[in-house]
Amino acid sequence: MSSVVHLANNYIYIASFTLFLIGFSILLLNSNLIKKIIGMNIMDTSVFLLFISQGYIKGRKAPILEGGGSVNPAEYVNPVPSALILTGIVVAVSVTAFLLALTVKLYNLYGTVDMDEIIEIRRSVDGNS
Amino acid sequence: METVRNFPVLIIYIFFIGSFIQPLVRNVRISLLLTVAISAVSSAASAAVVYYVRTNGDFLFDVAPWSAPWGIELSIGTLEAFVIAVICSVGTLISIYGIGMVEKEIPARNIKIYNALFLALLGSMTGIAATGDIFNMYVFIEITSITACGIISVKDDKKSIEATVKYLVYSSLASGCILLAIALLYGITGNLNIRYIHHHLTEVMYLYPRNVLLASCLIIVGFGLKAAMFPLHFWLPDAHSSAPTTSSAVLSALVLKAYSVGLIKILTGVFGIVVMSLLPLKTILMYLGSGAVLIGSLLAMTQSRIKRMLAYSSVVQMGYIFLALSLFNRTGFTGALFQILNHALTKTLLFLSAGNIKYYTGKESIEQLKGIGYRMPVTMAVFSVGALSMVGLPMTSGFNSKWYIGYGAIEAGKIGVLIVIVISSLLNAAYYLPVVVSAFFRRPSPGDEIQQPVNLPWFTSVPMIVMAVLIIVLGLYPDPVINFISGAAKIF
Repeated sequence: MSSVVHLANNYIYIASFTLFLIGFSILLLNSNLIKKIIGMNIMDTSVFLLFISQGYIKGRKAPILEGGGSVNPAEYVNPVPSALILTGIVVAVSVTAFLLALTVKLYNLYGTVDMDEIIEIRRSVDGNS
Repeated sequence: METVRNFPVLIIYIFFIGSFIQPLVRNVRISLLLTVAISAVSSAASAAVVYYVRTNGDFLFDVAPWSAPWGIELSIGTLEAFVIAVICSVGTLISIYGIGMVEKEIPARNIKIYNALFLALLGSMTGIAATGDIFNMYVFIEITSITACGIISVKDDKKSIEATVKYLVYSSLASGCILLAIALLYGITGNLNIRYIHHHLTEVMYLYPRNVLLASCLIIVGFGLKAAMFPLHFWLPDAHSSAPTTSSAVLSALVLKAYSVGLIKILTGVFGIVVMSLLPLKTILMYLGSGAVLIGSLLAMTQSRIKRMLAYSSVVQMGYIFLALSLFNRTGFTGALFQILNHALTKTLLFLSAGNIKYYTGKESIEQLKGIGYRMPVTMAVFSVGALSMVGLPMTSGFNSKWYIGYGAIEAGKIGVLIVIVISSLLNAAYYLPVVVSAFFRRPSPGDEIQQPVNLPWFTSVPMIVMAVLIIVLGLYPDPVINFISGAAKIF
């Protein structure tokens, strides 16, 4: 029973690890490049969720200051993870953009976005020459 | 003298500013010369950093007006200063060689993009080495992976695009692992600064043993995949052999080193010696390193094309670094750092020679190299120096790195590691020496008559000769470098 409670208390870890493994396996095992890119985004998002949830403190407000006056830090959640994840999202977007651009290039060269098919086409071309 | 404290961050700035002004330059020649100038300035600055660290010891530098643990901090010690100097100086030599070769291999429309990516890559590698903040390191790692993939795909042919996709997919897998590890460490310590994480980790690691174990595994897998640690090296041969010559040299000589330095910084800085000895990291590194130097050598032997053979040889040489790290003593660590310098110089030299051979004679496979020493005497002479250094013959720098790793193995009482090193040296000889022998002592195959020697332009031959001379000088007088880097080994 205690282990179930322990697991239930750490539901954030379980959720983000499940997402991480789903994304990881799609990125590693699927041969379709578009699906690979989707998998990569799922994987990155799972880590972002884990990061953000670690900065959340129950019952506190988002760290946005309204007006002047004194600031009581105990009212707000930890803003550092949100700031970091902003950077993380930018990184994930740029890698996605680069991979998509390469996918377009590969599609123009081979007429398919499936990595296995591309390798097969290359093999048959190499065999003939 | 205190101004030198600003130099590490200035080096990063210089590289990135140089990268951003590249698209504004009209003339391709000027763009190439600008790359050389920027790398040369950074090399001079990195030399000053080495001198400063040597006289005044390690120092910390706050990048923004917020001090640690909130702001980003650069921590420059012996290891960092040494690696920054290696990256900047080898980068300069490669960019000088690039004046002649880049225009011949990369389509004209992509040359400025190549230069911009090259400078950004050098800057981000400097960042990985210099930073003292683990999330900042992640950002630099991502910039390094994107630009490293970029300098392969600038060649813009089928093979290089395909290799880039493969490389980028595995790179992003590794980045995901590293980011998850950082999230786990942040969750239990509440810090991102390496010194502070280490401080808190020694207190809380007994409360969260699973988090620490999982984070260390993810760090090993993530950095191992990026630094081509056996058996996670499968993406490397394609990526390194299909890239343009200068890119192959940078990827093999510097990018792998930057990731392995990131791994060293996290293992020794974040986890520290005490935590590391509680985790089974030592054994894992030892088995993977041994596998790399033995099986990597066997794989290199089966290759018929010279660039692929050099790429597999990089897996072997990275294996020596991991093997040396697993020894966990001062001598072994010194050997690992010396191997970083040795491999950076030697593999650059070998890739540049292979690029010369391919451009001037159109030959790629080892079989065709018979008698090529008469046609390209300078190239093959420096290639031989590099090959002997990879095998580890005395009077070359490769001998000294193997000497220190082997000596460290004896000090650690691991005779098995010593035997592995000796066997792998023999295997290295088995695939490097036939190239040298057939280049100088075999008759060219019929229909391939002896032709006039090729005249290399000075910017192609000078960097190669400089590297060959450095390899021999480091083989004969390694003491200044060894004295300096053994300062970094004091943590053990």
